[in-house]
Amino acid sequence: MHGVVPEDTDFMIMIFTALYCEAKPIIRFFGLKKDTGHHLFQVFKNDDIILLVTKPGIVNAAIGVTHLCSAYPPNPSDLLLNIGICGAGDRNIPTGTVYLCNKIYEMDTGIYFYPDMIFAHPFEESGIVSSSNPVSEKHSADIPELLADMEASGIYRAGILFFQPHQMFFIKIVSDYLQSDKIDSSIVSELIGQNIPEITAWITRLHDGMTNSSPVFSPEEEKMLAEVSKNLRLTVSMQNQLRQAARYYKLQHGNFSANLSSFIKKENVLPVKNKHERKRAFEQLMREFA
Amino acid sequence: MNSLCVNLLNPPFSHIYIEKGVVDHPNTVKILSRFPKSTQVIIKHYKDIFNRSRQNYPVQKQSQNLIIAEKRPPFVYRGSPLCQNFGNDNFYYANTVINCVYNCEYCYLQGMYPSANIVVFVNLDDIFGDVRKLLKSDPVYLCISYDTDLLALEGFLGFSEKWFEFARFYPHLTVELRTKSANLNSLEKLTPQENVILAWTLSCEYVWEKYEHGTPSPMQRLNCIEKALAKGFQIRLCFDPVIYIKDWEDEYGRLIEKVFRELPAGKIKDVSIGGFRIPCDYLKDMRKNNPNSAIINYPFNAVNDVYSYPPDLSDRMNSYMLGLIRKYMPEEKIFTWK
Repeated sequence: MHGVVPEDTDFMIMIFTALYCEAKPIIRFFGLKKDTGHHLFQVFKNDDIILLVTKPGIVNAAIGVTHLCSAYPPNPSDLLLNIGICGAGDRNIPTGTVYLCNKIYEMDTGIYFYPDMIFAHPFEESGIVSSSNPVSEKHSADIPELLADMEASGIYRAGILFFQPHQMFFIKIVSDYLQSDKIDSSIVSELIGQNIPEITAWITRLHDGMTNSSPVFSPEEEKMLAEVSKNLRLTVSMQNQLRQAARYYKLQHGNFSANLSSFIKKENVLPVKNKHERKRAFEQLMREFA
Repeated sequence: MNSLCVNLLNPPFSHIYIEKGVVDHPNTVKILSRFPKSTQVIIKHYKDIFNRSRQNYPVQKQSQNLIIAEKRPPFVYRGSPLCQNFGNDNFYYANTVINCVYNCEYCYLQGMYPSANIVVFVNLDDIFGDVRKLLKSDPVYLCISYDTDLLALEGFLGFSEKWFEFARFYPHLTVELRTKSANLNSLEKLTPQENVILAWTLSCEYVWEKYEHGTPSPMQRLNCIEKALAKGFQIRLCFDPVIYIKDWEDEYGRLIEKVFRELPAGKIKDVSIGGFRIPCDYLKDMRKNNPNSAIINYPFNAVNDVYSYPPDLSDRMNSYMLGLIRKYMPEEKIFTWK
């Protein structure tokens, strides 16, 4: 990101669209504001959501995801959402039908990608073909999946560097039957816009239901462990052994502060002057956790 | 992120991934008929989904999906030195299923595989073929339920029954099927055989309650074993792994007492004892996946890339267990892993 210092911001949902007309109803729905710090891409955000318009194509999509995730590294409870229109190879599917993709086939390389399908959802499901060039109707028989777009595989490829497979969702809305050159941008915005309330209600509910597991050691405990390690001049291996013993003790008994405090108070232990004293003190310390 | 609201999740096996090459396999058709509501996704190779990078084992465990695949060679593996061979020289194991429906915090599967999804290999006949080849030269001792719990899956899979049928024709083959299940219905369909051993893992009440999520209670397992003994099955009791917990002597003392109060010791084929041990690499991943689990965060000793309890504790636990079990079983029927 040129000229932009990463902020200490925790976005919870990162949304990627290929086109501005796909992003427009989302920007309006959430009241996102343009972030002018980004020169290479159009980025819009509020406190919880950040949206980037990647521009069409697999490579552009991958670059867009990498750009944003490098600037704002996601945490384990954040979600990646790719929303966009797609073509369908079957004319029986009504336009406006919303799909959650369970399989992404990259036409250019023949590689498949699979987002985890762990969460219940109200949408249809299908595989999708991602291609660097638009797939036309006359080639519809050649595509191995029902849907076609130009970004999903690029989003997955870059997204998996920052997210786990259960954190990424690819939502596609059928806009045409592989005649994408004939679609008007206002129709795209309308198709996305009419489905945004349902999509956002689902993704928000999902995000709210996710909980981060808290670290085993509190900041105070980390401080105590660091202090003891420093005073005893523990080797890295000894520090690891101490942390493991303390972790087990805490998980079993709830607290180890008293053990460490009583050890620190013992006058004959600290400070250590040589390797021999260190070894003796370390053994004494480990006995506190036995 | 390790826990999720249950109502957000798909039910187990909501999605079934099927390798293209086994779509029409009779075992595939049978399994799919048991899950008519599942979404079917056709895949090229099971590893395309099972071996994906950055999967979250604990999250997947909360909503496991099924992968139906073809097992490619090798079909049969040499037994691990970390497992007991019960005095058998030609010790092998075969995987017809990878991963388990139960969720035991200490289970090595969490460190061994990158995914919690369950893989079912439908081409049992190829595995049987390999076992036949081995049997041409020597007797074979084969464990078929190490990386899963076959009996727990019997309701929709029926693989235990197929192994029983296969073993019937090969007296030089001894099959061990290890389980924690209390699946009485499945037992009803199986016919006892001399060369097929049903091996039940038994844990004390505390370990079951705290660490063996989703498994039948020790009492339910004992009830099932009692029925199996009455039917004439070969039964092995596995006090393995023995886990170090607070008051472990009391806990395991009560377990042994209960086991031999409920079961006729004279009918039991043999017993195994073994303290918890695990390859270092596996435990490293398990700790990363489940940092708040006390049981796997014990400060184990590492020797030859295997973590286990310190030697003095290991010896104490083994001797204690041996002492208790010796009251009921002759020593030659007790196998201790050291």
